[in-house]
This record gives sequence, C-alpha cells and structure tokens, in this order.
Amino acid sequence: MGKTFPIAGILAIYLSLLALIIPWYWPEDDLSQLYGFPVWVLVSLSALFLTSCFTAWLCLRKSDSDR
Amino acid sequence: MNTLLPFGSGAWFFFFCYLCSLLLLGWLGRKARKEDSMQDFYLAGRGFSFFVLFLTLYATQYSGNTVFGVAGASYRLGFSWLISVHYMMAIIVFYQTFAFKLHALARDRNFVTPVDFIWDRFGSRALATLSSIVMIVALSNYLLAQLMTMGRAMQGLAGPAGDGAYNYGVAGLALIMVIYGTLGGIRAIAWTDVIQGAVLFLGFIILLFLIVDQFGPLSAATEIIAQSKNVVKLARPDASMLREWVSYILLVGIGGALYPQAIQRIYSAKSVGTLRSSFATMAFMPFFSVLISLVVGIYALAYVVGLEGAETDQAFASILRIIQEHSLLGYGLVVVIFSAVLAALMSTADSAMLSISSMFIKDIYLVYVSPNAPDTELTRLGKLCSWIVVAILSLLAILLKEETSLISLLDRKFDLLVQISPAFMLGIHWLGLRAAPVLVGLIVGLIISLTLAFAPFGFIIDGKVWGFHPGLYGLIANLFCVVIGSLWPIQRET
Repeated sequence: MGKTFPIAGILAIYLSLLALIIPWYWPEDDLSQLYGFPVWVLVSLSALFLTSCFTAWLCLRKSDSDR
Repeated sequence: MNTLLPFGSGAWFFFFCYLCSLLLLGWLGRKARKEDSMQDFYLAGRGFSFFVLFLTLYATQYSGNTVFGVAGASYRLGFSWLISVHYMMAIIVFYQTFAFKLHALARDRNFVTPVDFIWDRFGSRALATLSSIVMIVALSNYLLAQLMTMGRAMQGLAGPAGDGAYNYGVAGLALIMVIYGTLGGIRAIAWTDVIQGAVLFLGFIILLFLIVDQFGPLSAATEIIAQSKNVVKLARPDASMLREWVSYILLVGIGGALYPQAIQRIYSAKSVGTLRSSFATMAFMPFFSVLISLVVGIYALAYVVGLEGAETDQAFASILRIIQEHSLLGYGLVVVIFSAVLAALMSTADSAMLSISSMFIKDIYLVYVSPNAPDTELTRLGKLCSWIVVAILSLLAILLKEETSLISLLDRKFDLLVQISPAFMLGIHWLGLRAAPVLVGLIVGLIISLTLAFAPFGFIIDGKVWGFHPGLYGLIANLFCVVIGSLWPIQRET
C-alpha cells in the first residue's frame, strides 16, 4: 500500500490482531467478569479497538494508489 | 415486534412526519438533479462530501439485521455472538484491498455499476454478465429480508391486527421508498440516509441509556444469567464456534465489502480523501451499533424469559416493551428508537433497490436488448425497473412471511457475493489475472457453494461444514482456478 509500510507488515499486524480477537487462548470454563462483561469479551473487544485504530490510520495516510 | 405496546396518535403523527420528510427529500433530490443521466441518477454526479458519504455508508451498511438479528442471536447464543461486532469491522478492513484504487479508476472511466469495472478490466462479456446476475440475486435476497422485517415491525405495532398490518407495512413502506428513490435517485437516497443514519445513531445511544436506567448495570444482568441454566452463554465460544468466528469474519468481511450499493458509494465519493475519511470513521461504528444490539440481547436473556426459536428475534422488541411500560419518557424514547429501526430498514432497502435497477438496466438491458439506447431512456427504464423489482419482492415478502429467519437469509447472500472477490480484490492489483480463469473460478465457486448450502449432505450442520460457510469452500476452489489458470502459460499460435 505504501512504500514505508509494506503489505507483508500490514498483513502480519492484521493476523496478529485476529489471533487476539478470536479467544482461542482463553480457558473455556473461566467465567470471570468485569463491569458485566466476561473478561474474554473485553480482551477481544480491546483487540478489535486496536484493529479499528490501525485501520483508521491506514485509511487516513496517503498512498501510492491515490495518485 | 408483536410484544410492543400499540402506539398512540402522537407516535403515529411522529412516524407520519418522518415518512413525509423522506418524500420531501425525494422531491428535493429531483429538483437538485443536474442532468437526466445515469451518472446523475445513480451516482449524484460523484459529488458526495464526507458528511453525506459517511452517513450514507453507515445507514446502508447497518440494516434491520443489526437491530433484530443481532439482539435475537445474542439472546440465543449469549456473548458468543460478539462475532457480529467483529465481522462488521472486517468489512472495512477488506475495503482497503480495492476501494481506493477502484475510486480512482471509476472517476477516470465513468463506471456506474460494479460490473463496469469487471468489463473494463477483463473485457469478458460472459464474466461481466454472470457477475451482474450474482450481484442482482444476492441483493434481491437482501432486499427481500429488509421488506420482511419492515412487515414484522409494523405487525408489532398493530397488536391483535398483526397479520393485516404485516401486509400493509410491507406494501406501504415499500411504496414510500420507491417513490422517493425514483424521484431523486441516489441523491435523494443519500440525503434520506443522512437523516436515517443520524436517527439510527441517536437511537442506539438513547437505547443504551434507557436499558441501563430501566434494568440497572450490565453486571446485574450477567449475574442473573450466571445463576440460571444459561450460564454457558457467558463462557467463551467452544472450538466449533471459534471456527464459525473465523468463517464469519472472512465471509461477511469479504462479501460485505462487495455489496454493489456500497461499491456505487465508492464511485460517488467527491475525492479519495473523502472516501478515506469516511472509512476511517466507519472503522469505529461497530462499537456504537452492533455492540449495543448485542448488549440489548444480553439484557433480554436476563430479563425476558422463555423466547424459543424464531421468537428470539423478538428479544429487541421485548426489551422495548418493558421500557415503554416504565414511563412516559420511556414511551416517547421508544418512538424515537422505533423510527431508528425503520430508518435502518428503509435506508438499506432503498440502496439495494437502486443498485439492482442500475445493474439490470446498464449490465443486462443495455448490453443484450438495446445497445444504442440513449441515457435518458436508460434512466427512465431504471426507475420503472425499481418499481417492478419492489413490487415483485413485496409480494414475495407477503407470501413468504413465515418461511425463514433473518440470519439464514444473511448467510446465503454472502456465499454468493464472495465468489466475485477475486475479480475485484485480485484483479485490481494483479495485471496477469486473466478473464477465463476468473470466469471458471466463479462458476466452480458458485456450484460448490450452492451445492453445499442446499444439498442434503449429512456432514452439513447448521448450513456449515466443520463450522465454515459453504461460500468459503467455494472461494478456495475459485481461487485455485483463478491463480493456477492465470499462471498457466498461454499457448500462442505462431
């Protein structure tokens, strides 16, 4: 997409975030909660928020395709 | 929605004003047209500013399913349906693979429909036509789902006279939609989307405050669930459901990015900067819409007992009913929320309607029936086509009202749309991608997807194979054909 941030890097970041979003690593029997949300939900949503920030940053920076 | 309290005359007057405002915007859209052409009618002269583009994307992307389907599914599945927040975000991620470059190409070459890109890029009439048919079928499915939900919404308001109200709801709202849509084209639809998007956003925020005020904090709701037989709905998804998460993220992310009506909004953006800013803002919208619907479903799980099967789609309405009964303020705010629901439905349906008519006229009629038809005739026929499509689908919505649930309709639409992704997401970057392999890949992908979706195989559970949607298996085969076929050396005659 841009010269300073290769596609492989973008892909690696998205895949890492996806690995955090999908709570495969969380114990299935853990029902601990915070503010009414199961903690695994908050962890997954936090990773999604990071994904939103990263996506917004990618969208807002200029790219070669704009020219 | 048949659990809602019937609305009084004040509420009906509010809805009446809201619906009249849509017709007024349709008329204003007609007055604002610059020329009687397809470019103006379907793309508003490619002049959408950030404000209009963002709200029209938001109103179009978040549909009746966001409200009813997500709340109902979270009632059935608990927090496992958090996936709905993720897959709405995935759509924005996949847009980046092609949207900005496509915008530049569309301006340069005057694309009107999504298939204009495929024709321009591959020069294959068979591929362009098949892509158009796939998009029309998928979108008709989507429009039908919105019309059915409109009927259910009106059914809920009518109380005991529900069945008749369903039919009148479908016919009446569809009529209003087709009037303002054909009066002002996409300009009118985008302007109504601005109102509808704003009402939808406001409705979600109000709803969040209302449920906390009515039921207390979310922790009280989850505590009730933890003490009930539904405790398992608080746990993280099991391995099978986690596979479904991956499947939904890929299927809805890719398929949603290829909504024809959204692609036409990409064409309509004033500049690439406008498009980039709109998508950047859209990246945060799942938190202010789908997540709130999910939370409503969790509250319903705690406080509304006994909904089973298709009844779970009433979870959202059941919560509204409790809020209505609580206070006059609650009653008033439910009127606003209900307007937001109508806004979500109509804004999605009107865009689908216009997109279907544009593809039918530009990609089918202009190519196969009347290649020399002037632009004014095509625009006029496009309007006529909108009326016919809405009439047929409204009739189907009335005839099929008991037939299917929202989520099953949603699944099949994306199974089809993802098969077009190689043409857009690879084709826009990889110049070596050839038409014949893309066409073969599309056909193979469709056959596999539809066979797995509808054939009575024992290994298909809940419409999925090992947790993955049929469309993804079709897409893998599709990609295999596309890549191998394009890399295969061409035998040239000497």
